[in-house]
Amino acid sequence: MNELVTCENLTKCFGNRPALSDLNFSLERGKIIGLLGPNGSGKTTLLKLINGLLVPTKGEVRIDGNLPGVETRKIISYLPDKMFLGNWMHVRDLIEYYADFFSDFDRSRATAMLESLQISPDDRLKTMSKGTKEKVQLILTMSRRASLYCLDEPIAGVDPAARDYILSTILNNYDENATILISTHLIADVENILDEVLFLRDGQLKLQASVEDIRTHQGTSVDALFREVFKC
Amino acid sequence: MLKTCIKHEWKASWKTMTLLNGAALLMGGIGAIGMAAANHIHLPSPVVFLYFLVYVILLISAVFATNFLMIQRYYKSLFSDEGYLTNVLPVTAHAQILSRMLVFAAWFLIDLFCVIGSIFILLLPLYASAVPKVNWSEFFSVYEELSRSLGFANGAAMLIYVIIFCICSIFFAILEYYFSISLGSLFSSHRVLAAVAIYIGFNTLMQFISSFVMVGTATKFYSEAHTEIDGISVTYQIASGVHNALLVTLAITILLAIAFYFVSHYVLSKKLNLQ
Repeated sequence: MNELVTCENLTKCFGNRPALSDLNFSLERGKIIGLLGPNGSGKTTLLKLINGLLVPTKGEVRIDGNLPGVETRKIISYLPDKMFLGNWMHVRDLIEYYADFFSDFDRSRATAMLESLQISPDDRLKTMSKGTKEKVQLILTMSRRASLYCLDEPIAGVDPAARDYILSTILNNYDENATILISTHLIADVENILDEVLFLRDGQLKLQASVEDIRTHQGTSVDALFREVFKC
Repeated sequence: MLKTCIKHEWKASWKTMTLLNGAALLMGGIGAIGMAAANHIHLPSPVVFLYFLVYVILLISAVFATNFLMIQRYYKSLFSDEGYLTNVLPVTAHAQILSRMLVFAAWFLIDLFCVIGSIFILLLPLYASAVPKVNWSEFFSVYEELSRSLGFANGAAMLIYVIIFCICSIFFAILEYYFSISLGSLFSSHRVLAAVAIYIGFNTLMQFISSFVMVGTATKFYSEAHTEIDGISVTYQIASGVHNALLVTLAITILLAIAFYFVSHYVLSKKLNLQ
């Protein structure tokens, strides 16, 4: 079975407002997939559902055949669009925390990446800038040898140099059999690394296609296609 | 994974709690030295007053801080931004709740020992010099009599009851907070306010029901007994029914604590909605 993620009639409503409506799709292993859409299209909601942080109103999402739970958390590495680390923690505490809870956490990989950014294990999160904290979060997420990486807006709000660092970190630190689901609206920056795209609009799937298909059959870039599909 | 959860929960709380409890013991020690010194030198009244003020505030703060930290850890680590990591850990909701509950139950017990220890240290010079020695055999015989008059088989049975009741009450108090926070998280906005309202509302309801039950059953707690003093027959009441009432209270405490636990577990495992 090459499918890693499958969604069937996946629906999530907040009150009466649907955030996602009847999503049906599947994602294969070993791909870098762009989850693209304008603000409020349901990207973050979908990632939260995959990670079990929200409960679907209807339908289901399965990861490697399992509903979100303890088993799926062992194989998903999630980077939310929030500062999710305790401010009181030191970097060494975080490494120990990840190593204790995630058996796929590669301590040496994390240490090497932190060293390359001159972040000391004795540094405290409280004393770090927002950008450095984001980098620490990314390093911890990408230091796991997971089957699925869910990255929610990893390059939003950072300078172009940091953007390059983040993208190269993502590319250099995932196994070929793993899938990366990367949510963003900064398409031009990620287009070159994507194998496939999902276009979401108002909680509905507008398009699922490979980047190669878009380029060869439609003769356009993903960025240009996005602008065309989501023209205001 | 429960052990790992406990390890990291302990790590998140030990510094603040050790500082507060250490300060409580230290202040007891300073007070004891002051009291011993007062026999030889004159301590100005404002200094003594200030010391006792700080001492009392510190003891109260230690207990309040435990409550505050317990509530803050549960809410912040599971239902705020930190929940984006905590809730994607490969651990069950049981381990998440149990680890927090056990760590803070331990802190409440440590608090209790430190507060009692601090007061004991403070009063040590007074006890050594002024207070007459306690007649332990008389103390135990009064205690034994009290236990029997409350319907317990003996003093040991009452002691066991008190210990079990204290431990259950600690778990009950912790789980009631968890229950309120968990239910509050189901609201789409103002979740903290909702949790506070649920906590206050539930306590008010409990007070109302327990007062109602107490008034309705108070007469059943006592039974009449007769004795003769100097040839005169005396009728008096013994509180033998209190024993049964205490057992019922313990049973209700345990049942409610279990209900709080499972509601919290249900919300965390089936109704989690991080926004």
